[in-house]
Amino acid sequence: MKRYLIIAGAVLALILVVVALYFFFFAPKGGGIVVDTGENPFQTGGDYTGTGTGQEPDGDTITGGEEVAPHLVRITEGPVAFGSLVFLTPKEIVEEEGLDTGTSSATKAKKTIFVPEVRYVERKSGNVYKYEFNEKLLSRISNRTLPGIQEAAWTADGKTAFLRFLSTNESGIEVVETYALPTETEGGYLLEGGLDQVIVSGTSTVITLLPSTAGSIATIARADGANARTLFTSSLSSLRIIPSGKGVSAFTKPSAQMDGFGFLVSAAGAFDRILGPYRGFTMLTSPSGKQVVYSYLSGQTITASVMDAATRIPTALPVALLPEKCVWAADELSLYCAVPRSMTGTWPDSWYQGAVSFSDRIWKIDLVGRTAILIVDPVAVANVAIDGVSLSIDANSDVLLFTNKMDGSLWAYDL
Amino acid sequence: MRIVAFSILFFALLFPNVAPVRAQGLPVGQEIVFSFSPQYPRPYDRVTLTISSTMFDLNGSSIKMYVNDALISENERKATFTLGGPGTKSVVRVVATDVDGTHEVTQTLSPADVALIVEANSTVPPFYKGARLVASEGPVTLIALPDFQSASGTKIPPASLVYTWKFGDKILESQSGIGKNILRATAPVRYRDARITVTVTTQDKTMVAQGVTSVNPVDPFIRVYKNDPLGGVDFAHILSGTFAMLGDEQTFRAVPYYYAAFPKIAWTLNSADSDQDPDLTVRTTGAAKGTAVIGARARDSKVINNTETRFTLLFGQARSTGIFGL
Repeated sequence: MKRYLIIAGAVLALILVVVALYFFFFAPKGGGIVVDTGENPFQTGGDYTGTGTGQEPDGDTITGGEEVAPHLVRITEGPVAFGSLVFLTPKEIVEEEGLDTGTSSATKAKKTIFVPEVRYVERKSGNVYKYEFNEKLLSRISNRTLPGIQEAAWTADGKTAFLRFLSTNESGIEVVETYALPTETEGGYLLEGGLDQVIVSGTSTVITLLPSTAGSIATIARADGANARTLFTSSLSSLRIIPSGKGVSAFTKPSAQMDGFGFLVSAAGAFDRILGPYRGFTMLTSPSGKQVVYSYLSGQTITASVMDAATRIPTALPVALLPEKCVWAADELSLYCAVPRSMTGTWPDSWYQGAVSFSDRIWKIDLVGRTAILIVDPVAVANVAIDGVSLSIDANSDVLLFTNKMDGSLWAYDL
Repeated sequence: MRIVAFSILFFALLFPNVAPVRAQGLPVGQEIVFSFSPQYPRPYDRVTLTISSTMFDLNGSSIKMYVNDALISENERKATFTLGGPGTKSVVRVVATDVDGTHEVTQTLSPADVALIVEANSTVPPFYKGARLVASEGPVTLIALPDFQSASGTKIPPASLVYTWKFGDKILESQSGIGKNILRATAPVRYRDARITVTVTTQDKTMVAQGVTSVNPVDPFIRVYKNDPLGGVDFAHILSGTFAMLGDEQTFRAVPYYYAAFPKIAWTLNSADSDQDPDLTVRTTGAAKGTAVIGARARDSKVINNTETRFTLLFGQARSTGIFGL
């Protein structure tokens, strides 16, 4: 009996030792969460471009993009800056010609074709990438480090990107900065601080909007910063501008609680009101400026129309689209739009604030036939919700590019 | 710099006299009286003309209405037509014939336009694409953008036009006059919306346009966003409900919306007062996991503007609880 007690006691002591060892060495320590009062080691301030020269070798070309459903490609997992580009770039191929193609009697000829290429800016690094859509090849073309890029505007040829980010100046004040980054050559320059908007028209023109105490000033310049001149001065300070033909159109920043207006801006800088007053009003002028698609709140619902800018005759659209979730096809005969399945919150305020997100379907709006054609429903085909923004399309309407506002990922649809 | 030290309400109290505003298309003492709807038609507007007479019996008359000599209505007292663009003229002529003879009245409509835009100066975050809404007793600017064109298509300079501003029915005399197309003021207090009208005329009063809007102050509020050291502030998503912290450290940004001036920010961590910067960085200590309630408050000089938002932070969730850290 005594022997059993000794054994039991030894076993108990061993268990106690093991438990003590666990708590001493392995068990999670006590702790919690505290406020870190130290300085943010990553805070930028003055040196926007890191220490790199930008001349380091570019990254390797790898196979990229994941086709999550037929024609629907997720190009990036991580967030990109809002504003990416798809365009047609020339590519030289060798093609066999002649009746006996494939035989020794066939002749080989060089031929230039145009293929879609995507360019985007990685949000966290500011590095620029290109994605060759047909070959599914991804490569970094600029390793210039610019953390926290919020927005990017591109020249149509993808050769210059205007990167927009927040920076804290020496006085501790946060300022929106814009850096013009050539993607294929050296250089780059910082634009004036505090710009409210930067848009690009064509391959060589950049238009900036600077708010002031007396309104705002729009400046037009070449993409390299040369030949800058004032495009217009306005007593309005709360504006959004859109490329429109050789100039711009503009609309007042929207809200469900304020009347909004749309304007065509003449070459002389005069504002010609074309639409409004409407609540929740947004618009998107066609590239030529001849048509305007717009929507506004009519009670609690969205009303969308397209208007001929010359005659001012509106035509109601069959889908309650939101112009900033649309892009014009190059021929201006159709629009491609990410249209929410349903909307919650107060449009557009809640969406701008990030308080609500939408799950969209992609539609083609045929303005000739006045029909809406469903292109893809990402939830149905890939069980993924996409809140599409920053839409871009190539000149042949082969590839539709968009960013998912939910997570910043970049997507493309092969049309 | 304070541009205008008085509120709109104060303007109204200061200038209680109501001056008449000349309306287009209301001739007095004519045989046939025209009434247009809208009263101040804009370019391309559909306009309805209604006629009446106190000098003879329209019911016993044959009536013809013309616009630019095109017959638009016959034997009706009402007709609808569309105006042309800026700089065009629509000559409206009505001919009524009764037993006493022919009564004819002509009037010319020169459509003009004015957009009346409200701009508030209230707090919103950088890159915000929406409008700044009006803060209670905050600075507000009303801008009249007229589009007046002569028959030759020449724009009439806004600086040469006459602007008459009204708050309710009361004319703001010191703010009105030639070239005064901007009204700067302090917004009324919340729930006391201000209806503002601007009437714009040429100096010879041959063209007139009117814009009406309402200045509606809103409630301010505060939002919290994730602030990543590399990705920057994620303004696309507010933090509410529960947020799972994946790493050992996380920074948050408090953003006040629609305050007249940037308010004081105060953070709380599990109801204990914490930082007062717009950014709050928290980090885990030890190997604990759990939850914490983070709050952000914004307050200015007026108690009614104190706002708060809270969310629950899950921390240490990704960490292993295995005995060997697996």
